Amino acid sequence: MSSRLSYYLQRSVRFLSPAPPVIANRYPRLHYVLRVTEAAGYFLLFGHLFLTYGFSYTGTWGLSMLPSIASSGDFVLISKFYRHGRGLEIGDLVTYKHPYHGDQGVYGIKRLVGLPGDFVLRDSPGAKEGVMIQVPQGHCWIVGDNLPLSRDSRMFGPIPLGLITGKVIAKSQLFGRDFEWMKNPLQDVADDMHDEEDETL
Amino acid sequence: MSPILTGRVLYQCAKTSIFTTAVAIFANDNLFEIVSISGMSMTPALSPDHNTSGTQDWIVLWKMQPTNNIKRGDIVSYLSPHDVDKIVVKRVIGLDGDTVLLDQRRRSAMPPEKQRGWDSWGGKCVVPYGHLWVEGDHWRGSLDSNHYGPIPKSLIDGRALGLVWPWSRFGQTPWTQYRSKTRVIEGIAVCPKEWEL
Repeated sequence: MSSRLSYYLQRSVRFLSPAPPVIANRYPRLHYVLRVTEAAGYFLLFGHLFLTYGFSYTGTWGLSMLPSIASSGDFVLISKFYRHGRGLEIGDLVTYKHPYHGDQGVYGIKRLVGLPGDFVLRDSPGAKEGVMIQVPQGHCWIVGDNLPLSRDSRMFGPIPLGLITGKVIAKSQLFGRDFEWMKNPLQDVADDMHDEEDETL
Repeated sequence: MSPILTGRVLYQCAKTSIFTTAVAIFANDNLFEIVSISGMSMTPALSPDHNTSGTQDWIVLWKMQPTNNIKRGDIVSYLSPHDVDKIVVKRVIGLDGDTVLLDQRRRSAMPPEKQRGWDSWGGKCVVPYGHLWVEGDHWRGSLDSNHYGPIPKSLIDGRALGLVWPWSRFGQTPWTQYRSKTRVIEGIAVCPKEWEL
């Protein structure tokens, strides 16, 4: 009984660690082509998964995020761990699928100003009646830094969190020159008050 | 050292399982996904016995550019606008540019606080460019565009191809014979000037 068992175990071990295929000996060039194709397949597969779920690095253009991001020539490093709004905070730079053109592959970058339940100013400060609205559940409110030249939630309303694809964590010039981390520029009000107390003492 | 569990065998096992997982994730995101229909919102086309026996239908979705050539009557899946962790399967009733005349019968099945949302449309809605109006077939309890309005096409995850379970109905598309009672005035999708790229 034990010899049958060891026979099957040995067969499965050999299956799991196969010898190089015969094709390598008979057709070395074909074998080489197959190995290159296999490596390219792995590269594309894992590369695509890395870009979708890990990080991506891409160029930007547009005036809506001046002065944080230049109108052209800036490259941004996007972390895809913040997909669908997971772990996002107010003040983060987010990438999103465009609500009108997203199915054509158009993405945008704006700053997150309202999470579900927050109250936000519907229009630009000083414009119209100054109405505040509450962001519905499952949605967010995004606004560009360059208010006069940005088309954002003030025009298309709150967008579902399902359209958020990631968060911008760093920007640089071409080939990684002048690399800088994009930190959340908003501070808690409590921090400011604490500093003032230290000065008076 | 055991002759079976050599480092080489473990390495091969790890390599195979990582590769298989990667291929599965890639195929799931970009090609096909199989989801189960839980809930009564799409009866009788999908999961007709869910209330009685609890059996659910399983459908296969096509994930590659699902909104290309989308037609009224197609079944689509998308992330719920109210709860980003939930996948919702509903039928496309109106394309962009269409005017949807909201179904009064559906309003009567809603609780009062949701009826206010329905009333805010004023009885009809023009679907904006790049959006779709989706509804569940079962008028008596479906959370759909009647609650949250038209959804952007970019939110759509996949388009249904056919049933895979129950086995007796494998490959069928039982939803194609369904004619929605919601009236739709067809229109042409035009991108507003201020949103052109």
